[in-house]
Amino acid sequence: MSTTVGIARTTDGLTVIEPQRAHPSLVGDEPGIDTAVLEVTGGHLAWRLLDTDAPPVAVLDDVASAQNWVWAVYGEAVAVALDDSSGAADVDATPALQELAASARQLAYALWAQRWWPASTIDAIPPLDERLLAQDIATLVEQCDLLVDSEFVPIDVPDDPLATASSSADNYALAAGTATATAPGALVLARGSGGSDWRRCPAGLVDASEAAVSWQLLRTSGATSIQISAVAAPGLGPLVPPHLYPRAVISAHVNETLAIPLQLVGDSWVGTAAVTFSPETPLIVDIEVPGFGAVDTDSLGSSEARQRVRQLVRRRMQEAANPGAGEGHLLAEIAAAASDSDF
Amino acid sequence: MVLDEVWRTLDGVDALSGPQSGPLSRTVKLILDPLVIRPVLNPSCAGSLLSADGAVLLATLVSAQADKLQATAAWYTLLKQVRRAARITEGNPQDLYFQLAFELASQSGAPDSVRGRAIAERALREVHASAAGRTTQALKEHLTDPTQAAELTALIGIAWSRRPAHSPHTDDHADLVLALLEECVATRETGPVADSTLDRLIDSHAGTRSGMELWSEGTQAQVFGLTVHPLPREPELGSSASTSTLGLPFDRTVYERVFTALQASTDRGDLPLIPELVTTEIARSCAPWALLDESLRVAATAGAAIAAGLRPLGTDADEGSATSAHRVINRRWRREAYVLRARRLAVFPGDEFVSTASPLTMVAADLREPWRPYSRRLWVRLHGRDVRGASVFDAEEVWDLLDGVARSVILDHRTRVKQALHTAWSADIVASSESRAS
Repeated sequence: MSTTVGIARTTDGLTVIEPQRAHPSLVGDEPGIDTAVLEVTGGHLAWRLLDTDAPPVAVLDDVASAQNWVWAVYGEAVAVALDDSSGAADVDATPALQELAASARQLAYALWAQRWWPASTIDAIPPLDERLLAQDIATLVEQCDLLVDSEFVPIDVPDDPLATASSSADNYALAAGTATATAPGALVLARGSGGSDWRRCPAGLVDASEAAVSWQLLRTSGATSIQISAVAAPGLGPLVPPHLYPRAVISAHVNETLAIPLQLVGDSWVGTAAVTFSPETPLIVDIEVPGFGAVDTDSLGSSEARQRVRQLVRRRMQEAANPGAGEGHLLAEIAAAASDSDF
Repeated sequence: MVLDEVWRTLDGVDALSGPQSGPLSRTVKLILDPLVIRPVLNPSCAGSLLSADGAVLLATLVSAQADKLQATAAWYTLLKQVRRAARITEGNPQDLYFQLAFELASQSGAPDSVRGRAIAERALREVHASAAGRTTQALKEHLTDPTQAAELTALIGIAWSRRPAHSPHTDDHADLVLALLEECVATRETGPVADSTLDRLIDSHAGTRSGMELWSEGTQAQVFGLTVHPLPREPELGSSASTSTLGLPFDRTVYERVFTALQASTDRGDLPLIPELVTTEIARSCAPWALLDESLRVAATAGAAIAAGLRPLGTDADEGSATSAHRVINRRWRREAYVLRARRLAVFPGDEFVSTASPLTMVAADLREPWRPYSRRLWVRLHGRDVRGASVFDAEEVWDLLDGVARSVILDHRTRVKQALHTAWSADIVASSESRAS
């Protein structure tokens, strides 16, 4: 398979090899939630996972070192063009080592899955087994010896079997639903539910579903309060370090926001606060861990983007559930698919 | 690519090959480059894009050694078997044995089925033994003996009080240091430069002077994260050490300094004996930059200039960048910022809801005050070299150090972020903050 790539120097002094059809750009400041990256000698490679067959974008800070593998992933013509300091557009790219190029993408995908796999009790997307995934990564790192920067892609297999989240379906059943009981005599003025921007919480804290976050506005003894509940991620243990406790950020009007700290109660993150909103006020509720993640709110982490990632993951699990699978799938995916009768 | 093709024509080199049958990256780095191709002697084989002549020469060089490479692969396989049988797990076998295997292959061809194993066992013992009394236990016994301890403590007092006084009139070497940094990056592309700025800095004792300033001026050493005190204090002798509780460099005891040197050493047989290690360390701990070698003091000075211009959080790589060396390092750091966001591992400093004691805040401090982890790590590395007597001789070596430290700081940051974001409680989250030995 051959494509056309352009070679450019950014104002930062980085060198970028970019397929002409990379869209949106992988070189901008904010990666999307479907961006898979792999640290390679001299820079990194990035793929949009939703762009199934596009070659990666290479962002290089050290072109001389990168030349060790550029020929293998992009072909000799690109290696030669890269050596020409003037930069060039429209170079024909054909991987010299197809297998290696495929393994590199698979490794980037595995590293992505380690952090972004949308595990959800509500959506019945089981979590991946950490140990199997680490095994997958170790195997792929070996296959990618030519290009991978092994310092930056360390192979750490978790050695405590208890630390591994079980992917058995029983363990994450029925955590969903309205986790906050309404006090007797309270009047529910309004309620709503939604998802949260994955980029604003570390992996493994909050269920990835679009129905994970629910809120209700209550009237009790003359006072209005809001109750927030976010379903915890499947496999989350009870001893979460306090600095990772998320908070709910409620935006009522353009300039009115309220942050409510959440506590882990059973399988949910819950919090409540007195408010002065009227029931008609349109509310936006987001969940975030202070000091973590993306500052911007933009389309890259939107519910549409999340939905597309879920579709991707479901499709891969369906394929992985076929007995003939294996080629092109991670052990961790196959095990997760087998643990869940839906797939 | 040429190399890859030639390699595939060789037989019996699987042990040195990767999954796509090309040479492993360590095969290239440890065997082919330095021992077979030798680009310094054969400049037409240097670099990754070769002329037609270069390609032919490279193919000839590699093919000419086909038998020896095959024997190397056989020795390596045997060394690994012996390693497994002896239950040795120390180090990476490729790093430790690739060159050894080549050496054995050069001396005696392919391993002999009768004597081969015995030779491999002996070679392996030499690699893994030879600490010869230079152990942390011996250090402990030496320093906890009351008479010794009293004498050595007195020695520290004398050495500290006899530190050279800071002469108020010093030439300003700042421009020369920046020139050295420019040279560092330039030599990467063009090869060594003749009239070396490094030599001029060494000859004029620029490193000694900048090191002396740390004792007397402002709070420089504190700002650089080398001590918690405004000015460095007289080191203590100490009576124990553990890698998880090490203080900032200048606050470490003599015990701790020698301890880390022993821990970091891959071949303790090359070090002086314990009593000499200790007295030398006392002299070192009271010297400018807590280093004895002038070239390493110059490297520390150059590192301080780099550290002061690190801007991991900016968006413009030229901001704060006095030299191209700064730009190269800042560029890498900003690329890393993208990778961390893509990996869901990004922290950002300055959220008013986050307590200053939160591990997230402490980790984000790496980004706000990057010169602290940078200077600390650089000192640790220079200290290790100083103990081994490994001076730096050219700008390229200085750059390898400065650039290598930048990589390590980025890696450390990433490790700390991962630990801080681990959703199951673990006690080492906080402990792992500032205390790494190398």
